[in-house]
Amino acid sequence: MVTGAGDVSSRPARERVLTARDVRFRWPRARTDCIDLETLEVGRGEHVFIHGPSGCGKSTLLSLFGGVLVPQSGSVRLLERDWSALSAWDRDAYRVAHVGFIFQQFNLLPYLSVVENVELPCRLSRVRDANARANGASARRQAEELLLEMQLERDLWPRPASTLSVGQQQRVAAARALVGLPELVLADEPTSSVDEDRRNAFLELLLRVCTAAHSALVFVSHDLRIAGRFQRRLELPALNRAASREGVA
Amino acid sequence: MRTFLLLAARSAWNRRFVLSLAVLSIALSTFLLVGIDRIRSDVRENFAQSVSGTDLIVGARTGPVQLVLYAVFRIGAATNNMRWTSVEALSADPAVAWTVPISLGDSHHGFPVLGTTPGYFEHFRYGDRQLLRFREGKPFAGLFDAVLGADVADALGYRLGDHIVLSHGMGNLNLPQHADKPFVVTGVLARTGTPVDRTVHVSLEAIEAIHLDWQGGAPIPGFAIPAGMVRKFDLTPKAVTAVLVGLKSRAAVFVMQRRVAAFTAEPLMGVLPGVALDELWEVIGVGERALLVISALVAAVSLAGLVAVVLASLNERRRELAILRALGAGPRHVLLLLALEGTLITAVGTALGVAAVVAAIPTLGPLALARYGLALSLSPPTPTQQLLVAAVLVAGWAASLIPAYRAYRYSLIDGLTPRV
Repeated sequence: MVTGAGDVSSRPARERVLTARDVRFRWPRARTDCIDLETLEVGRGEHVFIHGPSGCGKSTLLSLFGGVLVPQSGSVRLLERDWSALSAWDRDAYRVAHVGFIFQQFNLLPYLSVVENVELPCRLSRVRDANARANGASARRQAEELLLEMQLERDLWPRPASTLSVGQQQRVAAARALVGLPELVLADEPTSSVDEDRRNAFLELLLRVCTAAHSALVFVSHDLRIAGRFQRRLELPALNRAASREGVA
Repeated sequence: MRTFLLLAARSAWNRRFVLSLAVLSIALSTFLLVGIDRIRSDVRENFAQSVSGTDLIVGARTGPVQLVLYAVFRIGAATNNMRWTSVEALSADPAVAWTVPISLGDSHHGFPVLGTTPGYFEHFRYGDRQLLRFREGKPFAGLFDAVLGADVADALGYRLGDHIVLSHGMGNLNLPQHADKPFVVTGVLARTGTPVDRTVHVSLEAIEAIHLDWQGGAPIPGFAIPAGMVRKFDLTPKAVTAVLVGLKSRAAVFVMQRRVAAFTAEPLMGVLPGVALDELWEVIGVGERALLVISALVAAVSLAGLVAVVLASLNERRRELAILRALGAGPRHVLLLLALEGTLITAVGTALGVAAVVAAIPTLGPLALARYGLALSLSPPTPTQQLLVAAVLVAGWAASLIPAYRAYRYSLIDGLTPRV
């Protein structure tokens, strides 16, 4: 459940994956805040859609959730640990252990094969590797299972990621985000560059796999047509007091 | 760590074209730096070894540099000769192992003519105590036999059996000719990279013979002795220009030098060729200093180019590094990755450059010797060359740290949403 400030206390702590409170973030040299968020919570396994027009701070918000950025004030807690309390080094390790990213431009490493791209988070994190081992035989095995679930045929797996179509890369990026079963998956407009049919098919796959992995999903997009597929829908301009002050709606 | 080594290797393979350019550029820089310095040190070495194995050069009293100039480099002329009796006295000294008298003054098409004894071919050494070798033919045996240096034979196209006429005096212009007494080429020496290559060698007796009917630098009018008749005369030389002396023990060289200086029959001096050559090099070593300056410039430009190439090749990885950061690689991992790659590129490039120098010396060495008389040697690197290689390694490594540091400083968000 995504909640407002009022019912935060009523939620049992163990179910919360992400908690953001009084988060203010301002870019260096900017005169005004980019993000000013009172409270936001995401529960374990919850699928949240955050809608907002371009420029309202969607990507910045995801970066704050994923510990890529740290707010100037307030706290963003992932599994009850505050990103601000961790050193940069520890944030890197904590992020890869618990967060899967699906970037707008997918960000696959062109020189690795499809399956190597997918298993990379397990290679960089012992936690993810252990999760994968607990659920499958190995990181490679789980990567292959996820690729199958994402309907990427076996003959594509050894190919370099850069040789795939946009739709295929999108699914590889999703599989990579989900390998090692992170508690939180952050998706930054991954459907913006595909047509409607592919978009719907991708969303269906993504949501199904997230459900199976019990991963919470925070999906930001400007495309309202997909909002109905999520358990919760939030309007960032309403949530972000900085945006409403600047009159973005 | 294994993952990072694997990633580094895969990433490098993915950028193999750009990286091979960087490696090539570093290899070329190293090749140029070490190559130029090798030439510089070899030119000096060649010069210093124009004569070796000769303990003393003895001549009429003059300056040591002058004596070396005409006795070794056949440049200029002796102001005074030394008497043959002095040569004999010197040869009889118990400390002396051998003497090779030399007599200069004539020329052939600008190449100096050296009158000497057959002992010259047994005792004269150059370079690393190498004896003269014959490319073809043999030492002079007959009175009018001549042995040519490699340059003389090549420049004038002489073969064995060709007839040559000597000119009286040094130089090239309108010299009176010893046309009535032509010489036969009986031998051509292998190239040495020393002034020997530019010398025509004949016997001392032949020098005496062609001057029998000359006086004051010109033929005596109305008096000519035909070549066939000269053997009837005493052809023992009366004077020579200098004597190369080998001692039984090198330790005696200073004692011998003092003995020569104290010689009473005529004023003589003995110089140590190495000392005099060093002194001469101080005078004519401007060329070496020019090469040193060129080396320094090449070093500066190469190292700057190296920094640019490494910077460019690593800077293009900005996005890739940001992706790795987002997937959990720490900034220190990224720093390690880049420094590792930079070090490897520089090490491989430098090794290739040094290998190219090592390969080029045996391949291009004969050409350099044939064309320019420059003997390149495959000797171990000098301290300067070691320093140059170390400088390339350090510069490459330091250059790779700049983008590594920049990548370290990048915020993740900067690389993930690149600004165009």
